[in-house]
Amino acid sequence: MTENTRRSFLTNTGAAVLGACALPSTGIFAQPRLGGTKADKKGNTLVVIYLRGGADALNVVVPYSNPMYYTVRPTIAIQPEDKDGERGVVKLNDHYGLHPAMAALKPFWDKKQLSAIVNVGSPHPTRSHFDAQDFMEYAAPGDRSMTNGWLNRYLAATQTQEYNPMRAVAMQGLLPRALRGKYPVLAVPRMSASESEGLLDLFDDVYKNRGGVEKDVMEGELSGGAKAGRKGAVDVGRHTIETLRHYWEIVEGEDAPPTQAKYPRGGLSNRLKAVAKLIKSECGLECAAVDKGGWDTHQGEGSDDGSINRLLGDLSASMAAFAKDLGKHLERTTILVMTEFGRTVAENGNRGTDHGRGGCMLAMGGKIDGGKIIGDYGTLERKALQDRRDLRVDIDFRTVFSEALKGTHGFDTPSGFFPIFSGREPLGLCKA
Amino acid sequence: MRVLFVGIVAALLTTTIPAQDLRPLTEDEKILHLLSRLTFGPTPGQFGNVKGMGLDKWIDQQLQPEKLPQTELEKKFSKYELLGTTPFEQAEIYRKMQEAKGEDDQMMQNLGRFRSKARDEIRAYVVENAMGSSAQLFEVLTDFWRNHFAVDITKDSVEYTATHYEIKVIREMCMGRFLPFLQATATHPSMLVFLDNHISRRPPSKSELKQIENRYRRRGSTREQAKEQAQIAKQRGLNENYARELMELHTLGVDNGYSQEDVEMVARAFTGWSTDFGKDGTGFMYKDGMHDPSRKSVMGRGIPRGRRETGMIEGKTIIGRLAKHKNTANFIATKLVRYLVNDDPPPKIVAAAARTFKAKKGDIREVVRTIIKHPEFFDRQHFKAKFKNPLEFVTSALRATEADVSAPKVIADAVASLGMPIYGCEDPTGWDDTAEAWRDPGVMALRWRFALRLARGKVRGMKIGERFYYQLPEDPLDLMDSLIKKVVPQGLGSNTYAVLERVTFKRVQEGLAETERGRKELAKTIVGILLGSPEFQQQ
Repeated sequence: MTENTRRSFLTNTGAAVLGACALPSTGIFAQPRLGGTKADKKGNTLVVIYLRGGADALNVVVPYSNPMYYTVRPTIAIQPEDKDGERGVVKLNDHYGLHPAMAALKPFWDKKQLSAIVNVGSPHPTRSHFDAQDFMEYAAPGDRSMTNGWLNRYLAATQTQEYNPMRAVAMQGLLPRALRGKYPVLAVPRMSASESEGLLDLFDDVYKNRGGVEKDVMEGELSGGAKAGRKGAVDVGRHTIETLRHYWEIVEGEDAPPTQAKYPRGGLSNRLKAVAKLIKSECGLECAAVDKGGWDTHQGEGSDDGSINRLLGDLSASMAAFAKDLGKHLERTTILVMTEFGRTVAENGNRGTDHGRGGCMLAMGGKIDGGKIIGDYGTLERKALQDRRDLRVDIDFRTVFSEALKGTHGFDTPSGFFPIFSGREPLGLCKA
Repeated sequence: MRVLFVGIVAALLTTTIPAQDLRPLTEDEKILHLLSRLTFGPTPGQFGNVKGMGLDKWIDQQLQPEKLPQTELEKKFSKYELLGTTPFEQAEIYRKMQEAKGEDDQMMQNLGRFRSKARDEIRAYVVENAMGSSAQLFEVLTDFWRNHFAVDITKDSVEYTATHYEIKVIREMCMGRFLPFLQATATHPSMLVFLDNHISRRPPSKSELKQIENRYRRRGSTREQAKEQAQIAKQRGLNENYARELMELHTLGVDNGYSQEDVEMVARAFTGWSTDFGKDGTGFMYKDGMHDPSRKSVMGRGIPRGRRETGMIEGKTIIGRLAKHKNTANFIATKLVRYLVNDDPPPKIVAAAARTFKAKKGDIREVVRTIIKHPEFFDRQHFKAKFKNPLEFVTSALRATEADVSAPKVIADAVASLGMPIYGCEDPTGWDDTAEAWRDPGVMALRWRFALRLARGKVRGMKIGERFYYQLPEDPLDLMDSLIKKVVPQGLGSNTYAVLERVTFKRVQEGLAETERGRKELAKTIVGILLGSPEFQQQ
C-alpha cells in the first residue's frame, strides 16, 4: 500500500460525499444513497466480536470427555452433567460441549450454523495482551511495522470509486486496530441518538455552504494555507454530520428496521442491536467490530459460578438475540468471535487461569459450514502442551481470517495480504 | 456534473487571484501564526503581550525555556506522588504489592489502583504542562519528541517507567543534541520494553541447544520434553523490533539506506541492552551473557568491538553513526517542519533545517531556531494550514477560555476519548502528524460535544474561568464580537460569523439577552459554537 492511498482516495471520494451533502437536507437519508447501487448493498457482513483479555478456551469449548481436564482443574472445571445444583456442560458431541452459560447458542449448532475452532492462535510466542492483540488485529505476528488492520486492508483492497461510509463500523469511540488504517472507518461515538442529533443540528449551519469558503475566497478574505486548512476542517465536519445522520437514520429513524428479538441488557447487546439494524437496512455494511472486555480471568474465573459464567452468559444471549433479530439476514452474515490467546491449561491458586498460547474462536452464521469442532485440544497431558502449560497453536488465526473473508465476501486474500504467511491446510470453516 | 462544475469554479478562483496567496503576512498575522504553531493555542491577552514585547524577543525567550518561571505549575505538581520516582522505586512498590497480594482482596485493589495511578499521573502531568506552562514552545517540542520516540504505557511494565522517561529523557533532552537524546531513549526501560529489546538475546548455538536438552534430561525430563525445551529456547532469541524502529522511525526513515540484513545486524549488536530493576535505579542493564558476539557490519561498514562489554561498544557505535547520518538529518528535519510548518513540508525549510542539524551536530534547539527564523516560515501558504489533533484541540480550548482545571485526569480522558490517548499510541510510529489522520468519519461529533460541555461548565473537573465571562459587554453584538476576539483571535469566516449573528439576534428577539444571566447564557452558546467551528480546528 502506498503512502498516498488514503489521500487520493479521500480526494476522489470526498467529492461523492460533498455532492450528496449539497442536496437539500429535508428528509434525507430515508434510503441509503451515499454511493453504491442497491444491488451492491445486499452484500454480506462480517461481524467481529473481540473478547479482550484472553478468553479461557477450555471453559468455553469444554473437552468434557477428557479426565485430564478434570485433573488439572479441580475447582473450575465444567462438570459433564448437572449435579448438586451445579450446571453441566451443554453437549455438542461425545467429546466437546459449551459452557452451561452458552445454552442459548446450542440451537445454532444444531442448525449447523455454528462451529468452534480450538488450539487456534498466533505463531508468535508472546503472552503479552498488548502484543498478542496487536499482532492479531494487524494479522502480522511479530511485525510491528504494520499499521493497517486486517479488516482495513480488506476494505482498501476492495474499495471502488463510489464511496459508501457505511461499509464498515466500529461500535466504539476508538477504532480497534483491526479497522485502523488508510481506509476511513466510522467509529460510532459513544453518545445517545438524541445528544448526537442535537450536536449535528447545532453545527449543521456552521458547516453548511462549504463553510463559506468560496465566498470568503471571492471577497479576498481567505487565501493561502488558511483556505486549504478551512476547507479541510469544513470537510471533516460535513463528513461527520452526513455520516452520523445516515447512521442514526438507519438505526433510529422512522424507517429503521424493527428489532425482532429480545436482547439482554448490556453494552455488547446494545451494540449488536445497532449492527443488526445496519445489516437489515441493507446499507452496504461489510465489516463491523464490537469489543467485549473482562476476559483476563486471573482470579475468580470459576466454573459455572464465577466471572466467566457472567461473561459467557452475556456473550451468548447477545449473540443469540442478534442472530434471531437478523432472521433471514443471518444467511448473509458471519459472526467471528475471537480473543488474543487462550489461558493456562491448569488452574492457578485463585480459581483462575493465567496467560496462555492456543485459544478458541467461534464462527456463526449462514455462511458457516457449521456443527464442527475444528482443531483438537489433544490429551492435555503436560508433555503434549506448549511449554508444558498451554494449549498448542495448531491452527494459525490467519487461516481463519482468510477463510472468513473468502466465505463471507468471496475475497481471496492476495499474496502479501498477510505478511510472511503462505497459507495452511484449509479448515472448511465456510460453505463451499 | 455538480462536482465537476464546482471543481471548475474552484480552479478558476485559484487561477484568477493567485497574487493574494503571495501577500506576506501582516505583523499581527505573524503573531497569530506564532501563537498558533509554537504554543498550545493563545490565551486571551497573549496576543497583546507578544505584540508589546515584539516577535523576535518572544521567540528568543521561548527558545530558552530554562529561564522562564514555572512557580505556579511546580506548586500543582507537588501533589503528584510518583513524579520524580525512578523506575526502580516504582517497580519496588509494585513488587511489594505483588508479594503481599495473595488472597487479600484489599491488596489486589491497591495494586489495581497503583497501576492506574501511574498511568493517570503521567497523562495528567503532560496535559497540565501543555496547558499551563509559560514555556509553550518547549511544551510543543516535548509533544513532538514524545511522539517521535513513542512508547505506550499500556504495554507491560512501561507504565511504571514512563514517568521517569518523560522527565529524565523527553523533557530533559529534547532541546539538547540529538545523539545523547537518542542514546538516552535506547537505554531507557520504557523503550527497551516497548520494543522488546530487553528480551532480545543471541540465538543459542547448536551446542547450547544440546546443553539445554541435556540439562532437562538430567532433571528427569523425557527426551521429547527436553527437545521441546530446547526448541522453546531457540524461539526466544533475537528480537528485531527495536533495531528496525531505531532505523525506520527514530533516525533514517523507512527504507532509507538500510536493508533487512542491516536490521538483523543491528538487532544482534543490541542484544544484551536489557532491563534490571534491582541495581542503580535507572532500570537499564547491559547483560553480556545475552549478547551475540559474532562480528558485525552495518550498512557496509564493520563495527569495532572492545575487549569488555562488546555489546555496549557496538550499540553505541551504531547509535553514533545513525545520529550523524545525513538521512537522519533529513528525516528529523522533515518531521519537525511538518509539525511546525505544514503537512506538506516546504523543501527549502527542510533543507535549511537539515543543514543546521549537520553543521551544529544535531543541536535540536538550533534546528528549531532555523525553522522558525526561516523567511518562508511566515509564508501565507502555512498560515492556519494545519488541523489540530485532539491534544491540541482540547488544550487550546482550555487555554482560550482560561479554564480552571481541578482534575487534570479529566483533560487526559477527554483527549483519549477523541482518539489520542497520551502515551497510548499502540504503534511505535507515534500519531501521524497530518490532517488526514484525524479525518475519520464521526470524529467531529466528539469535539462538538466537548466544546459545548466545556462552554456550559458541564465537564466535571474543569470550568471556564469566572474572569472569562466577567464584565461582558451589554450590547449583544458587542458581546459576540468580544468573545470571538478572545476565542478565535485569528478571525472567523463569513459563514460562522453569520451563524453567530443569527443565534444572537434570535436571543434578542426572544427577549433573552436583557438580563446579565441571559447574556451569560448567550455567551456560553457562542463560546460552544466557536470552539466547535471549523476555524477553531485550524492551526
